[in-house]
Amino acid sequence: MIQVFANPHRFMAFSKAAQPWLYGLAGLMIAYSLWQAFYVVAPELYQGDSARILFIHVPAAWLAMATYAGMAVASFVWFIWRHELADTAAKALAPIGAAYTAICLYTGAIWGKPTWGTWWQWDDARMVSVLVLFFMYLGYMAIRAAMDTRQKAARAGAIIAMVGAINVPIIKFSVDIWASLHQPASVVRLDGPTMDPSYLYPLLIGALGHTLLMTALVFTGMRTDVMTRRADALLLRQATT
Amino acid sequence: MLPEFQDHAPYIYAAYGLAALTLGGLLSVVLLRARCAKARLERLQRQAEEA
Amino acid sequence: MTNPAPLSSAFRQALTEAWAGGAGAFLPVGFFAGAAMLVPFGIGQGNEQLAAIGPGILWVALALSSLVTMERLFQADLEDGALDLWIQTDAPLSAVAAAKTLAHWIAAGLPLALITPLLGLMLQVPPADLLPASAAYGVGGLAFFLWGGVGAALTAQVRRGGLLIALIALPLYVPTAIFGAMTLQSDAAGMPPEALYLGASTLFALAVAPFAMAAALKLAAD
Repeated sequence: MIQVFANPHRFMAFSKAAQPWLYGLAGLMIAYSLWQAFYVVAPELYQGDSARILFIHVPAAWLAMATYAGMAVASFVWFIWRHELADTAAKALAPIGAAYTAICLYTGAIWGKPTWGTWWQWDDARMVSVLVLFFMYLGYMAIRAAMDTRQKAARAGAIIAMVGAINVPIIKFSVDIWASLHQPASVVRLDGPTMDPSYLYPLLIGALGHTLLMTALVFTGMRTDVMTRRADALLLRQATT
Repeated sequence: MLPEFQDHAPYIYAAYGLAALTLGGLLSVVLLRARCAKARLERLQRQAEEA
Repeated sequence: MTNPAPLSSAFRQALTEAWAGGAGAFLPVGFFAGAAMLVPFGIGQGNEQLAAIGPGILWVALALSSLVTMERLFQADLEDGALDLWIQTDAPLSAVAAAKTLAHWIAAGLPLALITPLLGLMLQVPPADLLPASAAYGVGGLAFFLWGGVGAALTAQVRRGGLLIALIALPLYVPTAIFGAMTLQSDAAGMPPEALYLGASTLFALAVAPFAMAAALKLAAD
């Protein structure tokens, strides 16, 4: 597997073959979770029908975090071994992670209004942490865009992704104890004992489906990047001869 | 056939509508850029062969 | 052998830079006081209201004031070649960057902490809390300057990088702002346990930020 990602030629061949399967499986699994969410599962005991929003909210929350972790790992690999494909991956991951983080934020707000009676709750540590994560994605993309060469963008992006990643546990910790200061006891928690088992499998399959969709999107983004680099190299060769 | 909800229907449709809009937008941008990059590379490769 | 000369020269240079052009170090203080002055206009003049939010407002104003002077922190070194000299000497670049940021904090950050008792008095902070609060603002301010320094090093070659520094650094300010505000809200006598968290978050910045700055400065020099 490492071989596939170490060599751009092998990666292009592998991703070309894998892409249709990834998009197809992702579509099927997301469609299944949507069908469950809209038609099958019963309204939740305490939240009512608004719990159906969780079938997009929870996968989005998972991907908001997983994508940042992937970006940090790719940045680290690029920074140590200077593997071009690692930077290509980090670059492709950022907008996808930002999109899922945004989805997580506003589906959370829309879910919160009928459930908690408020769009935004500062004493919910998870909401605040995800908001900070969203700004970290924005900063990452902004610093890359500000650099004038690809090499500099890769280095600056890797530095800020790694600095962000080692700060995440501390930010999480600080937000957690800050939020615990005024926590109301009446709030219904997703991870509480009220979670019905009939919710679990559609939720897991939805999360897996969105993970596959994210992977497929990253592959497409990486392929775009590799092809753009090849085209730029061709152009350069034509201009010099 | 639309599903029937007891309550909160506008919230559910708003959440899924916005999510679909975001993911659809992301998907179309990613695919469009991939298509443009591929077309450009193929055009340049053809030019290189002709030259 | 590590030669201390680049460290001390970077340190001295940062101090003189801060005071060059006359008003230099007074600018962030002026910005800080001005921002704090706007608060009563924005939220009303009720003393109780102000006392409740005063310390927090000063944390926000301090975070923003620390960013005002960040943009130029490493830009001048890049332009006049000082950065290339530092890279060629055998002193580790992370130590040079730390010395420079520390000096910048002394010139532009410490005055902010020193003026907080005055601003706190105007915002109805109880007089007995003013001096401990000022120490907390000093310690927390150092973390702000270190993370801001990472942003400054990353954007040293970017024209008009000021807003970019803010976007990069503000998420990293979150723990310091939280622990800082908790330290001031704590009712515990003497040193509240939250103050340890605040100190720890600054120590963490001190341990991590210099290496990130060094990596970013090497990038800027290429």
